[in-house]
Amino acid sequence: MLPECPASFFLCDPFGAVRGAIYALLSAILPEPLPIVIVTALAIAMVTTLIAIIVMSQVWAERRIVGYMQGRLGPNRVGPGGTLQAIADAIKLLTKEPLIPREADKVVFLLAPLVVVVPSLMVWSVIPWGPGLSVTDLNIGVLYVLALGALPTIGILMAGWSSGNKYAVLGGMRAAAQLISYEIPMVLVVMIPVLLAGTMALRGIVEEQTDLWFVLALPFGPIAFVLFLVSGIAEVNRSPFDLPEAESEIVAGFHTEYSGMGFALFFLAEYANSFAVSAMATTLFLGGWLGPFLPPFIWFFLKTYLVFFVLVWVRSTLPRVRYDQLMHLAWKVALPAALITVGLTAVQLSLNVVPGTAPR
Amino acid sequence: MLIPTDFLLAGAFYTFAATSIVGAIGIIRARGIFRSALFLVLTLASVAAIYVTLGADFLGAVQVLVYVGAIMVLIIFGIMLTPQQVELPDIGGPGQAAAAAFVAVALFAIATIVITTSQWPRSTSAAIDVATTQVIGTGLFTTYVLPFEIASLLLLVAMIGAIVIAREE
Repeated sequence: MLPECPASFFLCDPFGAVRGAIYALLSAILPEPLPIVIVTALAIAMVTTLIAIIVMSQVWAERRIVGYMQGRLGPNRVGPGGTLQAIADAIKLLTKEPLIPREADKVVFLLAPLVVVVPSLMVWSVIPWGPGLSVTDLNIGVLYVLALGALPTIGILMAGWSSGNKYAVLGGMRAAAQLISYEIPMVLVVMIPVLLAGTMALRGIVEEQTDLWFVLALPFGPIAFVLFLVSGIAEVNRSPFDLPEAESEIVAGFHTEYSGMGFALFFLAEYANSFAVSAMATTLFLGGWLGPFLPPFIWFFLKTYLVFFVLVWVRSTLPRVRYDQLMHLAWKVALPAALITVGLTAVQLSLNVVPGTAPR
Repeated sequence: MLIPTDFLLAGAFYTFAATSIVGAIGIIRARGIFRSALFLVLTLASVAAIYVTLGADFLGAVQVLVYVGAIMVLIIFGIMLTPQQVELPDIGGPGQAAAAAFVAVALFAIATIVITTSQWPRSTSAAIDVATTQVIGTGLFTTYVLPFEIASLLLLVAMIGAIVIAREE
């Protein structure tokens, strides 16, 4: 951790200080098992609230930035600068009638948004916002994120299949093919920070970057970072890889038949995933919460929103790729590049020539 | 740990064990092959959760990543690409039902006998906090490198076989 920012300094880790105070207070009045359970429940509630706030900020930022890049204003009527637009949208979605098509497989149709949204929210429990600041720090953190990132695919397939709509089925199949294809380079490329750090725990990976951010671990760090961003964008179905929900081709893809809260949950999951990918890029390659002067969690948010800005930038700049181009990129470019990069990083490590990492 | 770990873990274990059995019954009882596949997802995910409650967190995450995330997606993908009008024919008469019941009971009996009469190594509660990842990694690349490589070779052969079969048309 940073030497100029001791853990007892309040600004360094305000949430940790508050958590410690609440825990001390509770353990004074309650028997032993209860305080830790309550504190953990509070942490989960706090992260869940944070998700709602962050997703709203993302929706607003994305619409304003895309508007600016396209030479128009974007939402600017609700609240100062349009900041409350997302709340208005959420209320509108809450009050809409949830339509279930007659041809739909009802149970599967209603379950699908949950299967998509629950893993997307569970990922947030390991995101390291600052030193000691995450709901839990798993020993297998990276693997946990990858495993949960694979689950929403099932939900998307369920949504596409159960809608009883050919465009939804097409969208679901596109999603399955795309997610399976990009998961492989993603998993491989994530192994590079794991190799460099020698741990899969997310906090450990950040702490290993004190001397050198892994994005700067030449020559393979930058390649790995770009590969991670590309497969990350594909994994969260964002433009230019938004084929599963391409409006001009297959209406709205797998969520064509969803209205009201069902649609809102898919929307929430998509933005929660976009943030999770940005946060993982920050954690794995950009040194997470590390940085001078400012408190760690501020650094984390600055870097994560910078990565998210790049995602928005890419979205508003590049046209959607064609299906065969998507597959070509995954299997003939990203996969070999990831394999070679991982292999050479391992060779590099065994020869002890990575700058800034401790000899092992 | 400050929480009563034993109690919570036992509760979680029985919950997920029950879920996996419900899922397994669902696989054979469900109407439509797509729903059967979804029940299989439920079962596999519950087994992953059981791994986690038993302290094998690495195995649990890999189970979700490989079985739920990859294999089940491919199975569902395959189901979506095959025509759905085909209803499963009602094969066999009472003779087959009797044979199936015999095999099921026999398998259950053998499994019960093996489980109850075996001497299982008792793990100490301290083992739960050991980092499993490093142990598994070291094991795979030293003691068990030969089985690991043979398994990889088998997968490669199966993959080439699948490509050859698909290309015959």
